[in-house]
Amino acid sequence: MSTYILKRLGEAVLVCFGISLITFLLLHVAGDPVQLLLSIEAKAEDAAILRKSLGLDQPLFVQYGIFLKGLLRLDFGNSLFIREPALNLVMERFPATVQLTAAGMVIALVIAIPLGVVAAIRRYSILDNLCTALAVSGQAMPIFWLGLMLIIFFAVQVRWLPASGRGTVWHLLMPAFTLGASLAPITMRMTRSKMLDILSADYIRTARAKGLREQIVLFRHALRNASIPIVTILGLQFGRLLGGAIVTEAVFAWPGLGTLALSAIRNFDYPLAQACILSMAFIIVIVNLGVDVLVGWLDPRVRFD
Amino acid sequence: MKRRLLCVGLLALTVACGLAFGTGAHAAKDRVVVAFGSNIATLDPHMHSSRLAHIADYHLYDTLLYRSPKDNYKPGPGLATSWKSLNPTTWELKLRQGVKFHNGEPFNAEAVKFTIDRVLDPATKSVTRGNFTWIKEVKVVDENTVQLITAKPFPAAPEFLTLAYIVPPKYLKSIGNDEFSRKPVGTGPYKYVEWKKAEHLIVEANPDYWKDSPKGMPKIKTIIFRTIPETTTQIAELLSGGVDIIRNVPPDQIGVIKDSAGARISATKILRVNSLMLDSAGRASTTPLTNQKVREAIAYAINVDEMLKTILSGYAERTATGVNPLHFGFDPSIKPYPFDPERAKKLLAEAGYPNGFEILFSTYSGSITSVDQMADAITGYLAKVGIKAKRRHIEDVGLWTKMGQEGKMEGIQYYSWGSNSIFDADAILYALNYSKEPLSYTKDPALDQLLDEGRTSIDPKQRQEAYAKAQKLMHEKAYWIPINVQYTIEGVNKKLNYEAGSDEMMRVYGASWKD
Repeated sequence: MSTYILKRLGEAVLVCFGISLITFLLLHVAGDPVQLLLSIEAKAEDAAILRKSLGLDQPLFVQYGIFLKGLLRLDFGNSLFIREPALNLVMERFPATVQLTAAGMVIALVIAIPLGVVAAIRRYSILDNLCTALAVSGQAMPIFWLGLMLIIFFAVQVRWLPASGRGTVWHLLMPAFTLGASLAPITMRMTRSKMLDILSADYIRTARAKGLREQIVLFRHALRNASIPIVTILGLQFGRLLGGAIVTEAVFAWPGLGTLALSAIRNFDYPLAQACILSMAFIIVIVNLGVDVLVGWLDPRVRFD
Repeated sequence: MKRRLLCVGLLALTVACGLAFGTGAHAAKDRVVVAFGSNIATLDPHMHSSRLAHIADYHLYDTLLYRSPKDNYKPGPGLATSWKSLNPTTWELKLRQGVKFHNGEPFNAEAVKFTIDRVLDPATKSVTRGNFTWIKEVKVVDENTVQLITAKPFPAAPEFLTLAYIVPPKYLKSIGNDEFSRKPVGTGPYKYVEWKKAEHLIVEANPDYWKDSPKGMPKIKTIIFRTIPETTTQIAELLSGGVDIIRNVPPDQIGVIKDSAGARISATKILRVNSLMLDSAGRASTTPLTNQKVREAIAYAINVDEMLKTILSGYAERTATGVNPLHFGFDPSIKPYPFDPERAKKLLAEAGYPNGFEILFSTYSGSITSVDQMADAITGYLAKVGIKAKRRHIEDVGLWTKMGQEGKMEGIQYYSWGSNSIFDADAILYALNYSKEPLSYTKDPALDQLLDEGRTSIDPKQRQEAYAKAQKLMHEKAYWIPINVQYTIEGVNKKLNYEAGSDEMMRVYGASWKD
């Protein structure tokens, strides 16, 4: 198992390297931060002086070489706008994003698993159809729209919750629900279809035949087996969740990695954008690795070699 | 069991919401919350050109000269009590006595010299260096007097001195640039308390603020500048009482705020002027725009008044000459071209384009309020007289500026100019219309001569006359088609005494709560 993890970590490094090259090229092709740092009224000479002092007058491959050299020491360089080490800025924002995505994940599971199970047990009932309708509309709903609707209702109309920001648990409720709602539909559908498969399996019939209580049949035998593909799906969806976090963070002014990445990209703040994107990529790789390991633990049939 | 769980969950949520009710949204009287659309990058006033960071700076620091709304935003006394030009290349400033930085360090001539030397030193990498390169040397005459030696006569010096934020030499030297950008110390009406980059900047009233400051003594104890990227969220916060002031309200949302119980609109014209710049010199390529009649036809073809009324909800003002009424040198006697599409068609026919022509029309993101709707309307009006505007949108401001400077902007550009916060006609006419300037697509020796005269003369009357002539000339030749003077539109808590400023600054230090 440890050789497997090491091998996967090696792959992760390669993936991150590839991502660094692609983002570096894309960002440098996209635009010039110097004009944004200066005001639009600034003179060309001032721009040239600034460009030189930031090292942006060097050829692209030299800049990439310098970047890679720093990367080996986990040094992404200083943010062009904030003028602080980019990695520090990322680490500052990291907890907020972890909190939001974790809460979003929990909410998604809390909504999706019970509904999925109920829909499977009461197949083709009104309840099942309702769940299907809910899942379809949930999947079709853009995250930012849901977020804004929640704000308008809970913050402006009834004034129960603060509209934006981070601080108390009340601040977390709406953004976490918004994010969770984006992940819940697919999880619910997956739970339902796996439960349906399993409920018609032989060992469930056996369990029932030997007189086990229905609750034990459902939760100890069926749901436990259904959890394996659900965990896999959650792992695969994690990237989408982080992407959704960017939108959610912007709508709710949540001070996380997503808004940081967004502003870094908008400003062509190369070092900061690199640090944001690479750390997100790294998280996704690690989560996927974690999911694989978890699936192995849940399902003894999976072997690592 | 599942059902029970669900019920308990719902109940918990309801109770939770009930508890939250009333705890969040009520504004305390001893603080005011301002929403910013993006994060401030640094609190070092010399390391950014960001409007929002300048607003924060305005509360933490003071400048040598200050623009007071009471005095029509003209450069007036700030940390310097008086200023005069001793000879064409020497400005002498008398400094205010008894002013102290927040850490107790005295403000004096040494601090002024240190500040300007710091900005000019290329090693500092200051992005505001360009505002001070006219200064060759700072001479300390005595504790409260400095002389600024310039390389060339520089009549606009007082304008630029309004951007001179003074920093404390001892403190800065002891902690270094990086730490200073996080823990700033100035002489301003508010003192730094806490800065969480992505969340908020908190400042607190400075009880020892110097008397006689044109900014006045602070009345509200705490100001919180909160980062809220989404405009819609900002509006929701304003309506729910979570924030008290928001900037850049989109014109189509004005009604929402006006109709609300707790908020109002505060709007005023700013220095920014939006115009259609025409390549009259044929700098990028030869087009029909080199013909004066064609340019006049464009001016007659567009119903600017209607656009300002419908798209900008009336929150805009016309200027006939492209110079802002706030600029020194504006000539109010010139009237804009009236809307007259028939005359436009006639002029086009006379110019040899009875069936119109096709022309490139470039726009860019940022600066111009409702730029897409405005450009759509212009395109429509032009089409009605036979001019087919081919639209090109440039997302990246850097690229936009670069193309402009390199002479690649053929046809019509929807240009916006903020005049670098300088309230003088020179700040817009010279950069955009002087033939040798990188952004100019106008080539007229007579105009150049007038602009030179306005720039180098120290006599205000002579300058005024030169600019009046220049504006008349530009209007007659229709070198550009001015669309509007832009407004800053802010949403403000109804209980707060506060108004938006014409220099796009926010003077929250002057705000107070109504009883």
